Amino acid sequence: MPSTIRIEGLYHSWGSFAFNGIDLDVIAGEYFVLLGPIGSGKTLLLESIAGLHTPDAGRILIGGKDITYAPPGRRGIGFVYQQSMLFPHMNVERNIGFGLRFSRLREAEKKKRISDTVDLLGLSHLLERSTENLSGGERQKVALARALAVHPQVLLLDEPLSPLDNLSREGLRDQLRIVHLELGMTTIEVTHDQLSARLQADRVGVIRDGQIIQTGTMEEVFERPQSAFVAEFLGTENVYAGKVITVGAETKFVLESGLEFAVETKVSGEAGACIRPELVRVHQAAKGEENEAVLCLSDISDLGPMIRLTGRSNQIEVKALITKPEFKRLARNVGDKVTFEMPSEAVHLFSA
Amino acid sequence: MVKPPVKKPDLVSNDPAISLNGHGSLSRFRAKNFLLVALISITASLAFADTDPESDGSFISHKYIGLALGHLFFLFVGIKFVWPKSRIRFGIYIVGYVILYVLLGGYTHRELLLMLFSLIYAATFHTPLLFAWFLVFIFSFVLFPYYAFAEFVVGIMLVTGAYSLWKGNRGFFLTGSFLWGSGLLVVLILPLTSLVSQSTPQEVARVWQGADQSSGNLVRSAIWLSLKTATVSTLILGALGIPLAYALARARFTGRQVLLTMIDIPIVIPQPIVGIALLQFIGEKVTLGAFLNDTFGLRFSGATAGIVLAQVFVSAPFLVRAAVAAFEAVDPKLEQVARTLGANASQAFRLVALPLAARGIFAGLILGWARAISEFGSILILAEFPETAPVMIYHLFIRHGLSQQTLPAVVLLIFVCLWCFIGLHLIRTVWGGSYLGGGRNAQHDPN
Repeated sequence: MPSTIRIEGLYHSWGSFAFNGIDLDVIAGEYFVLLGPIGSGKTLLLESIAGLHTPDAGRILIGGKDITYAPPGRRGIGFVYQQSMLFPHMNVERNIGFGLRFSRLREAEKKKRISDTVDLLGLSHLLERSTENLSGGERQKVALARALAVHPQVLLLDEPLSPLDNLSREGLRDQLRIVHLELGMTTIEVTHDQLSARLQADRVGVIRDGQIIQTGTMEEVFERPQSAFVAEFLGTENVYAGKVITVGAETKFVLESGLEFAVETKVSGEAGACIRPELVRVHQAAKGEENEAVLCLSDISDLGPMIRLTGRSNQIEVKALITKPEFKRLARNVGDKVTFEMPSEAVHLFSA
Repeated sequence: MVKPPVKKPDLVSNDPAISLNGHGSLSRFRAKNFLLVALISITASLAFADTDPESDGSFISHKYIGLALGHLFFLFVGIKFVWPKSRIRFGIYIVGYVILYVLLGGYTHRELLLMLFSLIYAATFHTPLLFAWFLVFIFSFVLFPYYAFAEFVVGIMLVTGAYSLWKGNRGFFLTGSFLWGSGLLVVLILPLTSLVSQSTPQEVARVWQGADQSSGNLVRSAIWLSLKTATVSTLILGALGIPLAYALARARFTGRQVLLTMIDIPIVIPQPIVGIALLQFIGEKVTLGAFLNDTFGLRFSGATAGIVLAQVFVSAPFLVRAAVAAFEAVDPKLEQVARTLGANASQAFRLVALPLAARGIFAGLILGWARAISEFGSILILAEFPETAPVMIYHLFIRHGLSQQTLPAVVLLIFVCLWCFIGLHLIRTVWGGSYLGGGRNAQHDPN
């Protein structure tokens, strides 16, 4: 039975770091990804929901029930740490069954729960193994199984993918998706890797310095960031500060360097603009479209699936992502003049 | 990824070879086993020990002791170094030695020549350690025969340790450091081993049975009292010290660092001062002591309770230090995970922190026990009677000096303590062997 999670005005000071009134709503059954740089307090927030820190003020509700002062074990949560934190003095089976020791279920029921969980995650061949010689991916799966065995209403994941190599990361990501589809529990994953968020999240939140800056669906947060920090953190490389000026029917965004963009926006006054690099078009020569800039190509980086071009003039620097065939057709090299086109619908403005 | 089990260096050992045992190259040379063998052989060879270097023929004459020891040594070395290589070689080794002995020892009585030839003989087997052991053996019986046994034991340890270091390619510097530092080893081991080799089992047994003592089983009851009080002290210490250590390791509070420092104070305070401090605090003529005596009939000065108190006082730092370190080595996140899975704080402690810290704590308990049983100064002041073993030895020494009244009792005490100590360590090895406490770091995260 999935539950909502609600945080109201959470205050907590750890001396050098503090939460100054965090509000957060997570909808029942959704996969919520909390993104934030290292040191932003995302793990502390997760631990607060788990009850490992008692807040100075504020409330935490799970499924409408106030659990601010409930002990961690009575909150109906499952927690998976980045470093798995398997109990080294127990084998895999006893690790997975650890939480069931404290439940009042009958032995047969406990056995069934363990075997169900193990089957779901495909761990049956590991049950007798010691935790010491498991691979990183296996360790995380066992930690996940251990958390799931107690049938939590809420699953809290603290960067479960970051210690893994790419291959096992893909495996565990699929596993997490399956678990979420199958069990449908409310899940919060904390990460600084935006790829996880893109692939998995129903909604995302961005946290910085103990403050949640923006929450919303994937599109909302990625396409329409509300601050320069969110835009930059989520990989929008073209972020500019400037002013919105309306002249007649035309709305213009004027950079500090004096360069102008035609934009479509409701924002006015001081503003920030961001343009996702994949929406920037690149041409050999100017086509007479709006928002074109002839720039000197200062860098070409092969990112694998895409090529990133950096164009620079004394007024602006623009990054564009284009495909390899496009790059071949462009036939330009570092130092050549290239036209960067930034369609007005691609320019997203936010008030500064 | 399979991690090779890492053996932690032993907390308690006065033999550098034991701590060096943690390095891969020495893992074949189990120093602990070696120490055990050495102790067994000391115990066994007491039968051949000479009580009085001047006497000749009264017990067994010098020459026969030497020969018997020589034969035993030869057999032991053969089994240790030649037998594993090939059975046939071992046969040749035996036959060769018998011929050598019959020709030079039994027939012509040329002992020096026999020694020389057996050395050459040992060299022909191309086993460096075999040769080295022979060299040490002969050397120790030629130089200062009075201390032969002590010299032999220390010499064998040095040679074997240095050789395995050398074999393990630990380089000049490490081997050199070992040899240089073994000066310390000599100071530590020589006096005790030479002391041990100066009483015969017969004399030790006589002391044990209390035959010499006018007051019956004085020695036995003193040793028994020491064992009892040290064990009770250790239990009390564990009951109080483990929770304290857990709190000190987990909580961050004002005064924590001060407390941690204060825990160490008993190490630095001279023993008699501990006794005086306790006596003026809780002696029967002082307020608190009188109150406890009148109300609960609990007397400390001149009573077993006082002995236990003094022992708890002096051994506390050893346990608390070890236990704090052991708890600090357990990641608190493990307990947090246990909490999220439904354990309450005490269950998280009992099921996660305690088992993971158990090895370190047990090592601390062993140290505490050892410190308790060796306590003398404060007990002498707080509770001279009933006599614990160290106090009893002191009284014997005051009355008789370095005589045959004192030495066998000393040897007896050494053996009782050593065997208890080794027993406890064996328990630790067997009981903790399945889990080495290294699992926490098995997967290290990059952040």
